Amino acid sequence: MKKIFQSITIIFALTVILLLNACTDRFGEINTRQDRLTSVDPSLIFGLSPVAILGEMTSNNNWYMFGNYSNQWSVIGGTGPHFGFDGRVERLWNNMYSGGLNPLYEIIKNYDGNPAYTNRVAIARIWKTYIFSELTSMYGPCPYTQACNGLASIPFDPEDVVYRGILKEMKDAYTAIKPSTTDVYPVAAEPLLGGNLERWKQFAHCIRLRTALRLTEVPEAWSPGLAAEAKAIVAEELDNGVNGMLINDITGKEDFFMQFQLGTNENPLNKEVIANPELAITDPGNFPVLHESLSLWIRSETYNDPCLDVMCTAGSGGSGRTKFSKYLGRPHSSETPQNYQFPTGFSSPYNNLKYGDFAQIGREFSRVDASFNFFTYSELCFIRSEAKLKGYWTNGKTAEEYYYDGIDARCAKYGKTGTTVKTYKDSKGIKWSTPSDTTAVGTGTSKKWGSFSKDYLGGFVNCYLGGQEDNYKRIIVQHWISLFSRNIDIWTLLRRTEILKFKPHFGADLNNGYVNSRWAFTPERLIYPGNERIINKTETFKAIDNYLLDKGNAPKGQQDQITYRLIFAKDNDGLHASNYGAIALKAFPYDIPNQTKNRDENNPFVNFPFVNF
Amino acid sequence: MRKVFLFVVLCCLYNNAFAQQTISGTVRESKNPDATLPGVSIQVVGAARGTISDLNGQYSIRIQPGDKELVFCFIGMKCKTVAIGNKTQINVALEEQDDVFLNEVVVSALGIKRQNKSLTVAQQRVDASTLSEVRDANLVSSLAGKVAGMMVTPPASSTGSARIVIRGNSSINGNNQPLFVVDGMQIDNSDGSSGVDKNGGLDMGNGVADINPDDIESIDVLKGPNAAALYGSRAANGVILITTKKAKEGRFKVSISSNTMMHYISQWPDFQNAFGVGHMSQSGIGGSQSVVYARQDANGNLYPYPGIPTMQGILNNIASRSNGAPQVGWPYIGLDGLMHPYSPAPDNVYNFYQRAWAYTNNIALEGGTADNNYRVSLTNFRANDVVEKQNIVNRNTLTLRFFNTLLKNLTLDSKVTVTDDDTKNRRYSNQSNYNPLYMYTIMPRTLTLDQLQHYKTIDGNEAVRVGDIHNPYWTINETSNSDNKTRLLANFDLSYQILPSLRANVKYAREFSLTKSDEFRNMGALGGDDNNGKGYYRTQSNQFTNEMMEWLLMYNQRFEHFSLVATLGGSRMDYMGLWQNSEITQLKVRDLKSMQNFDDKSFVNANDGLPSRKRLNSLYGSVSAGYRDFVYLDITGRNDWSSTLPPENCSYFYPSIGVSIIPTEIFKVPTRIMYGKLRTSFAEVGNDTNPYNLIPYYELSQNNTYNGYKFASLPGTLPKVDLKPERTRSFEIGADLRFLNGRINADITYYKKNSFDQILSASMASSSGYQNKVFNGGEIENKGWEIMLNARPVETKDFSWGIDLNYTQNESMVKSIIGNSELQIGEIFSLQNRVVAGLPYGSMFGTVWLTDQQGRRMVNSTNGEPIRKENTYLGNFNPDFMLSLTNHFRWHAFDLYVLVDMKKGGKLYSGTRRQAIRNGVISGLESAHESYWKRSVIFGDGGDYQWGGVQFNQNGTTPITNQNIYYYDPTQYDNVLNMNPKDPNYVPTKSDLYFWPGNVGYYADGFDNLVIYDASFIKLREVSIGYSFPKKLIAKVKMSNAHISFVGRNLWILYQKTPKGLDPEAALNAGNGQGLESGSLPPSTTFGLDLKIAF
Repeated sequence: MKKIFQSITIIFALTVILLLNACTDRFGEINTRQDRLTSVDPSLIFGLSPVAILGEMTSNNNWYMFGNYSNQWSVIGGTGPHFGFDGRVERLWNNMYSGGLNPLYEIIKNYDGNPAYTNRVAIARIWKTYIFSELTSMYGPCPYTQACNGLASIPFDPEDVVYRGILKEMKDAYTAIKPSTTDVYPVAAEPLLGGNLERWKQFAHCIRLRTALRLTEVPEAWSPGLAAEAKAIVAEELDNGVNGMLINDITGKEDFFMQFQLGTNENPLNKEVIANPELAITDPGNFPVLHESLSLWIRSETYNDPCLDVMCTAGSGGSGRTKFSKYLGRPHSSETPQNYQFPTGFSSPYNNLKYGDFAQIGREFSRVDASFNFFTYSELCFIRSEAKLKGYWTNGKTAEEYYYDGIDARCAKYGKTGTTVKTYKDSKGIKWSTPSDTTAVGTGTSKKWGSFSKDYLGGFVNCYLGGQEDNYKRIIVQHWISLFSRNIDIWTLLRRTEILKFKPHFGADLNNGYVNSRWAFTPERLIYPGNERIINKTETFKAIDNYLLDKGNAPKGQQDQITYRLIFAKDNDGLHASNYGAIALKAFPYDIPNQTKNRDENNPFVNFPFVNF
Repeated sequence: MRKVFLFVVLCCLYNNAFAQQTISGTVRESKNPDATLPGVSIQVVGAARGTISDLNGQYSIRIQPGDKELVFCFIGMKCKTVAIGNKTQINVALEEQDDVFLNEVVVSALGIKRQNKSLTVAQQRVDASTLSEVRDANLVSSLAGKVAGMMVTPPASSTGSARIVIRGNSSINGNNQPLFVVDGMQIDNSDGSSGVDKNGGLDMGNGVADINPDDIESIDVLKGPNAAALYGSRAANGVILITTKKAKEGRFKVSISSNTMMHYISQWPDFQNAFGVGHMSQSGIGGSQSVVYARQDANGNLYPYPGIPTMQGILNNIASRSNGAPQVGWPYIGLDGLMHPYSPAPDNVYNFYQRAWAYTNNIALEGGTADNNYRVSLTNFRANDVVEKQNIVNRNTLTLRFFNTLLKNLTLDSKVTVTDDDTKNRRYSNQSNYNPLYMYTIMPRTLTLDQLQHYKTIDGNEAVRVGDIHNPYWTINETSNSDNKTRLLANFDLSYQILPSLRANVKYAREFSLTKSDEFRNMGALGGDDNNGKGYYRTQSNQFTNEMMEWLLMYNQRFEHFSLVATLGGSRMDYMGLWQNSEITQLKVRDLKSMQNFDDKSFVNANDGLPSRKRLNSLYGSVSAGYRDFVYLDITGRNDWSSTLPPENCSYFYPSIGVSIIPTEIFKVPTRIMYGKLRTSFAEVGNDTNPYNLIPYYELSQNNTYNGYKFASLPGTLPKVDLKPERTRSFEIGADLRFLNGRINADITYYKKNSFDQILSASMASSSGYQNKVFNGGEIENKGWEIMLNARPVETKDFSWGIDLNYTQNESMVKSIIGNSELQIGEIFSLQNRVVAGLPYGSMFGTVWLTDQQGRRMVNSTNGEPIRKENTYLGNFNPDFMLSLTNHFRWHAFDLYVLVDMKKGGKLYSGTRRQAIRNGVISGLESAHESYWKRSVIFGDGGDYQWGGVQFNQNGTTPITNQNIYYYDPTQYDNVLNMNPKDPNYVPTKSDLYFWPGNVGYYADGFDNLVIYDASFIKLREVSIGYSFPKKLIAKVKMSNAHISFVGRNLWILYQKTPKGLDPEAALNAGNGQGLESGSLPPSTTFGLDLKIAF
């Protein structure tokens, strides 16, 4: 018996020692992957963000929407062209957060306050605020202060909180940047500016200026004091410019841009052309052509823009009323709106036109190594011109001088200088304070204006500029043209100013736009993606209910609407937007615009609701 | 291998070295002295040595000096002890026992043999003898209908993964299949279909599929956490204990078995043969495009006006539908560019398939003494598939088993199993456009197979494709895959009998498997979304190691009124997996299967090896105490330490307690009248998680580059640092009732188990910075009944009849899931399988057409489109109950075994049917088609080809298919979800619309409810008719046993509610998202012949 107990005791004691002491031994090591990184230096992840943003802002998924919203490109196909309720928008928001913002938050979270990383954290902040300036311009309220924190329920911030936050964060960041040779991103690791500290400061100044200008007319009732703060920042940043802190190169060498690359960072326009040359020709939905709205402003029969052949390649021009124009643009849809009565003698000139009849987007923009601009010198000129005209800034040159600087810069960027540009600047309508000459001159191929200045419905004339009273519109038209291919920024400019008027879109889906049957206007914003509405439900609907305008108008269960107006936007005539907090006027269904007003052949401009400044 | 055989030979020699004195004799029945008793256990009292009598009741046993007594025991007989003395021959006669079952011994947790009557939980033994006879390529499939509480879903292909679930699904996202323990070793049964989803993939088969039934001695199923509590982690889903064969001591014995099975598709859908290829009743293509005509032949001779409809160059969906014109025999140009009659090809689907064969041959040798013996078994399995060149299997299994007495009271039981499994061309599954089984859903009824057989152009490209799906001849000839799995299981169990009542065991076991596989798809395939034309090549290596060390002390003592069985043990398990994958997504040249065959480096993706490591340390113990053989108390406890959990939560304790009372013993009721046991138990078990769920990792993967600079990508999953183990609390109560001396038996169990703290990975909103988050949350409840009945109505010397019945009823309910959100576990087309609080596990949600509360179908009044209602609950896949009935008959030398298996309820969504209806190949819609054809083509009322409804303006005549369609006026109803009329007397306006399902688009997305079927069935699952050759006859050729049987599996579906050609048991994969199928094998049948002989 003794032997037995000895045996038991020995076995038991041994195993207890073996197991109990060792019961969690090496667990940490076993449960850690040895072949993966558990922490990373900022230089290994910062570049993810610009690359993701480049991809997202130019994604062919987004042509469908933003190309059409900009009224510069025309893309037909699917529900995407007009309304942001499908998967494309889903991807945009998701990738801007996960691909764009998440690496930046990660850097800020892990390295903020670490003196060895001050500059790199500041750069992450500058780029982060840029992304927010774009994101909030599309969606309005969004998670900013609590974003990318791993929260299950992520609170949204109202627009003014986001704007005040990023304007401050941007200044804090550029102020924090100090010359250093060690606290920099390696050139290769920083795709936008190669880690150049001075250039990052310039970028921060430019974006802060542009963002502030966007807010200079926010109604007082919607965000008290914000407009005044914004005006002060506009003046502050423009003064900084005088002191050499902004960019100053007319040829565009100092513009902020990224280049596409073959492979993973492909130019989607190029990919579409190279990969599917036949598809691009046979399926009009896949490659954008020039939009009719822009075509009216730049075609040789009207203002003959110097950059016309850069922005697009000539098409065959079709037949009939359109056949003389190689730079024919396409409307959103060649379908005639329901119940629309053409003026006597008019019929749709676009019936049976084919893809090749229209001007296609220029090769400059579909090249494999094309650039995408985030901010340009010409844009700065038009911002200066507008600020001067509106009196937000009193130093510097005159509004007229900055206006011409802007035209020179946008032309010089594509190598257009000298006589052509001078002729253009001197032409009626383009010249400061000079009304357009709409006299139809010439015959046949040399015929100008007349019906070339009218859209296909035979009534809407959108390319007229008056005299002095239209100088503000003149600046915005040039600003608009100068942003060519930057469709998101263009959409923002259009909503901010609401001075350029376009025909409504067609093919709207029921319940998702300002719809009357098939007649719809450009949306005011994008709705939140399903991913937020389902998973981050409480906070998303809180934001929709509390932070968005025109509330109360939506049908039950579908409160998130693309018709809600963002704080920087002007009233859209088509929208009948209401004042903050009030119930919106009838946005659905919306009447077809008054046809008679737009149809007076002899005096097409009289009844146009131009906003004079 | 040579070393192994050397070892065998050495063991044989070693056995002989110990031979000393031999005793032999014959064992007979005392009641019938002519009848000898085979299989009687003969043990040396006080030693772990013994033998078993042979078929003639004869035995011989070698004894050692000091051995005093032999004990003879046989089931149903009283044990008899005989003194040895100086005898060399001992003949005994055993008396029948009147309470046979009272001493029934079963294998319980940790492999401990216990008397059935002392159990406080439900467990059931599977009759292992039929497994090797009525064979299935997958062991798990063979278990269908054999255990109450168990649900088996057969694999989608002969080489695929079967699913087994006991007592319902308890884990929301994790594994719901039981643990498999073979001879004490927890073995890998990972789901080989985890990479298979609706879009296809290759099913690599589940881990235990390759266990050889010829080597199985017994299978005991521990059904719930209560029985399995000693296994702690992973015991929530029950445990299947497999005990493999050992040598039966005696003389040298050779057993040979040979089994041949033929497998064929036995039930096809009914195809229509009225309308041919085309769309919108047009023979060419219709819809928004006009019919394409060939105007002239190759020589420029004009065809008659307007030409001949041609399918050439129209490689889109429309060219592959059978929604065209009536097949009246006019000429048309087929997909192959040749002229064919526009006539039915009624056998085009059937003729593509063949009969599949499977051959299993096994040889087993055994011999040795009680102290030292061996068993060697080698099995070869070869099979092919119903599709030519697919699923070619060649599997060899070698099992070596040795039992050695090293010292007095110290024995070593060793086992090594080596499996070498070679499989070629696993069939692409589900909706893969390479799945030849999916093809019939789209194959036009006019399409003859000869149009497909010339599958390759002179340039080597795919010549003809059927819609989205590749030419099946291209698939079987130009795509290939192969995998070779080597699996090694080694098991060593050292046992020391310290005292007659105390034993110590030390066990070491190691499982190792290495799978090398490749997959090749040649360049030149037509079209497709996935760049099929560029070709594809992949190599993969998958290595898995599982190592276990265990010690166990077992104390078994009987005092005057008390009995005590106590155990104490500890173990360490180490899992290590390594997965490597390299693939080329664009080939350079044709036909070359090589990782060099890439065109550009950017088309190469390689993973440097994905490791997975886990360690589980455990201490456990149990006490089972009995008083006067009528009250038993079971207590178990186990503590696990898992490396996958954070330090503060990595240690967790699982208790269980159970009581059983035998009132009939208390009141001394004779067992010839009745025996009854009541039992109840409570247990808590759990589940840890996968490795690496605690720390976020950054990936330096392939594609994050800009200007040549490579970035790291951020972790997409937010780990939970304080993760807790999943837990399941289970309660069960049961009764074991036996009547007439065990002639009629009933075992009834009610259980309820709640699984909570589930480890889930949930989607995150993007603005959180993550795509997923790991968390604990959610609770699932399963409760139900298990009833086993068996009876032996007739039992005579010449004839016997036995009946077994298993009844299973499980009710599943998701009590909560975090944040009231939902989790998707499966998806196909617009149907989703979800876990939703307040509904059973695996609830189905889909899109239906809007109807009002009276069932009237609503359409949009302006455009006639049906209004779709998404997210509609359409039932769940859990059956109401399952029932199986087995009958065994024996008459003289003949035996008959019949298993009928039944399932009631549960839903099955058929993607195959959805496609087949959409594409017009299925019969049943001909009259609608005809009516549409008359209207649009004959009367020329067409032109309006919206979604499939056409404005019907005929003079008052009601169209045949105008079925109960009304205009929807939203102002009249509360909302689309409830469709409550605001005014109860409101009657919607009847529409004049006309439905024809042949037009696709909206139609297809709105009829999920029409292709969800009740998956109830009654199947004649297994039949075996056998004959044992007379001993006298076979003795002449030195045979001791010969048995032949004709067997069949899935012979007949006696009842089904699914349409013809759709197997109610079909599944996408063996994962949690059940009740979905698309492109599955139609019902199939297996017939075969089994021959077993022994020398």
